[in-house]
Amino acid sequence: MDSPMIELKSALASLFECGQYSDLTIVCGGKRYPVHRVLLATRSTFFEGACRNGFKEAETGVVDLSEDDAEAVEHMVHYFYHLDYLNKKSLSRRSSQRSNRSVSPRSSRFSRRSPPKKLNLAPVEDPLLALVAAANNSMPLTPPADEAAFQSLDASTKMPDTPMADQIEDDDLEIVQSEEELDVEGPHLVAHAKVYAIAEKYGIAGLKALARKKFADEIDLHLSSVEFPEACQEAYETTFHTDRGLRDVIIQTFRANPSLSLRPDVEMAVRETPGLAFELFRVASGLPVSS
Amino acid sequence: MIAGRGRPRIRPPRRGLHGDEVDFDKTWAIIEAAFREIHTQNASKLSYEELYRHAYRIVLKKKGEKLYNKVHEFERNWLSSEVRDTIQHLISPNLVANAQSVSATTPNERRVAGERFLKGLRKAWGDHQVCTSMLADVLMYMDRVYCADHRRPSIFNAAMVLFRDQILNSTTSETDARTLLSLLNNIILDQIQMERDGDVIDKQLIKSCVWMLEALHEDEVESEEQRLYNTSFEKEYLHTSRAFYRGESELLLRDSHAGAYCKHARQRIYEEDERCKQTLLESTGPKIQKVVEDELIKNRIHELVEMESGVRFMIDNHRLEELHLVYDLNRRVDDRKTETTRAIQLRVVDMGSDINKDAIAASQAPAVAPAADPADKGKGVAQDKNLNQQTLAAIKWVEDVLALKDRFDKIWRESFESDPLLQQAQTRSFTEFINSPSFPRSSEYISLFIDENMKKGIKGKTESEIDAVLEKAIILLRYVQDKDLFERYYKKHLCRRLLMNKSISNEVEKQMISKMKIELGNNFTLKLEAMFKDMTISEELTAGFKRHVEGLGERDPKRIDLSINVLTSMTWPLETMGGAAADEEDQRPRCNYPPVVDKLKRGFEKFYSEKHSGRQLTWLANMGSADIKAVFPKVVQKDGSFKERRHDLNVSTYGMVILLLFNELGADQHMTFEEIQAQTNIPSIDLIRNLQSLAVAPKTRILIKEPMSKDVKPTDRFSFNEGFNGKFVKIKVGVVSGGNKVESDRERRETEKKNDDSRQFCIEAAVVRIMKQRKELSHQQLMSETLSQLVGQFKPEVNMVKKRIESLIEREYLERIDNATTDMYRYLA
Repeated sequence: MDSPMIELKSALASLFECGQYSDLTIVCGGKRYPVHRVLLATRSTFFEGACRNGFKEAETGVVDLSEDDAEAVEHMVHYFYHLDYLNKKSLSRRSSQRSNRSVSPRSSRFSRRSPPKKLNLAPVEDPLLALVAAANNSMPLTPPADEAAFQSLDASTKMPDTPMADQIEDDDLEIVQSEEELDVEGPHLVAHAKVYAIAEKYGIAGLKALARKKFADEIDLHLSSVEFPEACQEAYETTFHTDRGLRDVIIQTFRANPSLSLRPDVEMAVRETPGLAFELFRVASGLPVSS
Repeated sequence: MIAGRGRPRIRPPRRGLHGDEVDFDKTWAIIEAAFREIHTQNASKLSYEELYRHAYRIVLKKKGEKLYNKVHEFERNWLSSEVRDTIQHLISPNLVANAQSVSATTPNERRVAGERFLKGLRKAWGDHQVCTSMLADVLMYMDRVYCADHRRPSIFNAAMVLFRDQILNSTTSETDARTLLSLLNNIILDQIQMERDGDVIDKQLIKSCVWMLEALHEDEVESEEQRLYNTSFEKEYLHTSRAFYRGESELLLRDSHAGAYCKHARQRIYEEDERCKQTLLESTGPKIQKVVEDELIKNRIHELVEMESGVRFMIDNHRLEELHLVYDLNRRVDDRKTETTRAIQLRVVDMGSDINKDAIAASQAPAVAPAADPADKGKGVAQDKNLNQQTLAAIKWVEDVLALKDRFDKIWRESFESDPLLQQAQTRSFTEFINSPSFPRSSEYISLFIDENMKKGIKGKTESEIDAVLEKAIILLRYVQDKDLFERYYKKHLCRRLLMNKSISNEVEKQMISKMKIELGNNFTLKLEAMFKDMTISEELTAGFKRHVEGLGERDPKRIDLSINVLTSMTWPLETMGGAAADEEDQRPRCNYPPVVDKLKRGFEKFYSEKHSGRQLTWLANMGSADIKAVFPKVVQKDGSFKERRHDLNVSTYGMVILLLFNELGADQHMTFEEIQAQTNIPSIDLIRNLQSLAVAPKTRILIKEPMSKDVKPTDRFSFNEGFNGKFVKIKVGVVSGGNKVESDRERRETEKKNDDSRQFCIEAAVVRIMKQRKELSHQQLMSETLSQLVGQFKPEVNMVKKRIESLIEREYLERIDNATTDMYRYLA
């Protein structure tokens, strides 16, 4: 990556972390994401429509996505600013949240209207804190979400040159490490399927392709995981039946691993998912998957 | 919500929307209500996210088609009930009447009513677009998934089509079957007509309606040609515009000047162009331009050019700007600018012919203008005056032609943007009248013009002015086709200038020659240059002879200086110098020189034959001149003075011979004309002339003639005028008719005959050259090659070429090839 590219990416990241110039807020569950219309409306047809027209959202500057899966929304927003999601830093962050959400998925919906105090800290810009964070920049420890925000901020604003380079090193390392980390952290197949669905729903072509790639890369590694059947179900139920993106990946996996069908949890999922069952049937009969 | 998923593992329960069927009717009710709000401008209350989500779910659950149809139906109902009514209410009676007869209402009423309608329609269209695009945003997922998969038009496009069908294609009222679209067209056309008539209209308003027509298509095909604008409005627009401009051009041609017409036409063209930019679409530009150009120019240019105030009038009155307008208009419709070119050519030839006629008239007019030539003072014989007048006519002709050329060059530069096509046309026309068969004198006149300038005109002029004069001559020369004839005249005139020392500057003469060399080629100037060479050699000879004589010994105080010009007989057109009697070399009479002169003559002959043996010298007494010192005795003058007077007389050689006769005569003796002729052997014509200048011309009356009269008769007696008194010491005795004059008709016939003779040689030479190279050739090819070879010299008559070929066949240079399909010739070596 050349330096102009680094400059842009770190600028984007800092925009997200500190919410500068934000002119739109996404609300989902208990969280509020201060975002930027230009960045979203130019890449998502849904957000374009929301910002363009005289609907409530365009006037209030708030888009309430509470009906959507909170995790998927978070990944989506992350993607808008980092061109990626579920990478090293966010992994750790997400895992803690996931446990929260899985305990009481509805609580976030009910608590929607209560002010999300914790998140209000995000846009605060404290130069002292920033300095401290800059000093601690090279900490190997993965920082919690809010601290990460400050770290990125100083990386782009306080120490323009070298820290950026440091970050690249980080990114590169991350790619190398990701495999191991994934093994450690466990599968994210369901998350990818959800992101894929939300990308499709809101018309974000880049994110959709990214999610599909991640899903395809991971599926073979986590065949035996408990997430696999769940991810299959998710994929078949959340997108339009003609969308072959994840479906092809899944069918391909079943074809390559016939033994999968023998697993009881997989069997259960196939029973519950008519679309998947039908396609497996066609494969078994030697017919093309889609008619 | 959640179907039985009694799986042991902990996992997040599924959201209802993923697993459940959607209640379509309920959801649609929500959406429909929202759409109504959108259409009544209440969208800001609505959550985009919610509507989007509802539509998304319906499509996800494969109810896309149902949704699409519902929306379509909703839009149709909305347009046909709400919108159509509003529009129909805007139609006032005078608008409908307008479509039938324009005269029913005043333009202003119609304009106001029309604008009201257009505004209403613009608002309806604008609202429809805004609302539909909001709907389309809400239904984005449907468009992307359902419409794309099923090849249905996007909901936005479908709604646009609905607008066309439900609004534009609906009738204006229940009783009137015409569509709103045709009414709209009529209103726009009416407004444009108002603008053409000078009113101010709301261009922006019309433009927005035009944009609407641009956005909609005639049918499902969304090509540019199928836009409603093209299929409906533009067609009508072009049609009515054509009719309008046809009428207007007719009216204008009848009622106004050509210049005003041109200005108006240009204004109209500009207006239409602007209209396309400001009021209509630019794509109409070329089409309407064509209509305007067709009606205002193409179909009218002929009439326009021919009008009384047309091109001819403009040329005659120096209306350069108007000519430019004509040219500009003509250029738009015709790359070749045929009409303008034709008119210009006609005028050039007309004016040129007038100049020709004037010249002929002036040269043939009786001598009534004695003051015309101050040098002559009206005291020469009548014929001389006539000749002088002809010379003047010749120079006037040249100057007139040059003025004409200047004039048309100016028009060409300033009005025709230096268009090469028009330059060619003008050149053709100049060539045409300069070489007109009814005016055979151009070559002679041009040569005379140069002659006049060489002798007088360039005196006191700067180098660049002289150059301009020479250049003018060259310009005219370019037009002359019969270059050989010109060469003949030029040689004749040059010959006189050189021999009589009339040229002001030898340098300028040479400059002229080199200009001709550039223009006409080496061949043309070869003989002219030889003449200059002869002159140079002669100077050396004269000097050499002088040294030779001095070397002979004792200096004789009575020795006569000899200045001599030895001329190569083939190079110099000597016959033109010899007068009428000198046609044939052999018959040239030998003049009897006085003994002193004869001695000198023999001396030079001896000197010359030593240098160049075998050359024969022929003395041309008619061309020389002599300086004589004359002493007039003391006799009582008219003014009473009494003294001896000495004069240096410059006389012609013949004059010298005559005067020397009186040296030997006593003071009271006289000689008759016949006696003089017998003693001198001078041809009578030359003798008469010389005696006239010596005894009749009042200033140089050295001899006394009895009886005193202008004519010289054989019985007249001549005696020495002892009482002669001149004002100056040096007296030049001019010989009558010395200068270069226009030829008389007889002379011209001779010149032409000679010219034809030499042309015959040229043609034969060309034919033989061609045949020698080609061996065999068809008649047609031979003719064209011959013509093209000779074009630099003259334009031969076809008949003459044919005769020459015949003659060559007779002389067995060529033969006809027998039994060839076409006439063929073969070269015989």
